[in-house]
Amino acid sequence: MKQTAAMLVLILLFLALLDTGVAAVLHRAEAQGRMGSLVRYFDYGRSVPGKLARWEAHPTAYGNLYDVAWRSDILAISTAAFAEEPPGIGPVIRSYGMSFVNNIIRAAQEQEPGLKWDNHAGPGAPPNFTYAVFQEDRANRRKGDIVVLGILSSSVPAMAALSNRSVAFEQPAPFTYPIFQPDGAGLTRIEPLVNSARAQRGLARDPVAKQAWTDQFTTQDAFYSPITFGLTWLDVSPFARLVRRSLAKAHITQVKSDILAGEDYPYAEVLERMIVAFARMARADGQIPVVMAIQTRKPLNVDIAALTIPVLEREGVAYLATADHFDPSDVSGFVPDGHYKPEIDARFAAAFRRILETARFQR
Amino acid sequence: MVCYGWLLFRATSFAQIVDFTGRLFTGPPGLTIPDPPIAAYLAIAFMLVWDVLIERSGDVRFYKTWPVAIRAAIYAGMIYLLAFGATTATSAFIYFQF
Repeated sequence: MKQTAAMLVLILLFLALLDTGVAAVLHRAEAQGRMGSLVRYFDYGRSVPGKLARWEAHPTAYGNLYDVAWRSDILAISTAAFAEEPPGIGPVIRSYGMSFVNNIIRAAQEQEPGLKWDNHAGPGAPPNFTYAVFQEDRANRRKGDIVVLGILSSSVPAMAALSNRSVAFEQPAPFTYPIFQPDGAGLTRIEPLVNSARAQRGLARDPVAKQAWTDQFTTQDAFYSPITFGLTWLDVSPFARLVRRSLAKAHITQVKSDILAGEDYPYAEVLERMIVAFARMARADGQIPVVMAIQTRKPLNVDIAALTIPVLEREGVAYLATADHFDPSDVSGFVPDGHYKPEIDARFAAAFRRILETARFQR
Repeated sequence: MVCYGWLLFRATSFAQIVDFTGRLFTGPPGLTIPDPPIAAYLAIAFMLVWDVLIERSGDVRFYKTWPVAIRAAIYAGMIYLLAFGATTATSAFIYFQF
């Protein structure tokens, strides 16, 4: 018994020594600006508030997404760019998506340089982000424009989240979006209390606003957890970061599974209503709605084509379902970070251009 | 062999068996195996050394005669290695910039 206790104490002591040594090595590498993949590997496990604080303190840090994709900024840029557009510019592709949508339309532009494109996107943006920006950007579109709504299979569970920071643990871009809930025959928006990078930074000086935001976040965001947001002082320990990352990933996977199992949030019903409302608003404004249903390689994702195509066909909405053009279970079509290879995007782009041709013909 | 047996039983047609078997020997853009993470390489190296020590001593509990401090250090290292390898894949897309 005494020997076992001694052994346990010694193990803890050596763990602490090892952890201190690793922390020192990582600190030195970071101080010298050598942010290699191993340093980032340990950094991924910092708490979400810890990562945001570091991004605030070091704006040039690798992968800093603090100021990215805030809807207020996107709308300000969109409004200014729209005001600059010449009146006779002709049909413009107004996209509301994420990197996958951007890659496809960029490839389409390479194939057809005359395409005009107005891009609104966020990293890994869920449908509640893309649809919300589409709604808010209404004044910055014209009759005859082609309006593209991106729906990413891996981001569907994030429809039950208020911010990317609670879903994307390793790189928690803090931009926010509303949660949509069924309300009668339509949808109601639950607005996040923080809607700009400035408001986010201001929380540090406004404890009342910070508490209100925390209360909203903890009660209405399905992904919020003390595992990802709590015990920020543990960030000093690389060992604790490794453990936190493992627990966080398990937690997020579990919440996603629960949502996709139909618990907690009626994502299928909300998505269907979004698509219907998207098509109606675009058509009411004389625009052509197009939906991009993008399937990522993750096998546990919702089958986005099976989920959306019935409503798209019922409503007569043009769509590009990536799974129709490339089997997402074939890992050879992806680059290591999970995006499609350029040649696969080119294939999607060709299909997208065929949709545009049909739209031009119908017009 | 076991994995190939799965292919035989899970394939939906003989043509699929022929197709997949062909891809196994042609490399990208056929079927591809992701590179193992660093933690896996470290664990393989650790297990290799452990096995060599067992072979040399002829005793699976060869470490019992070692000083307590050395054993505790090794156990601590193993725990750290386990934590290191607990999560090797990112759960989201990582962007250098957006």
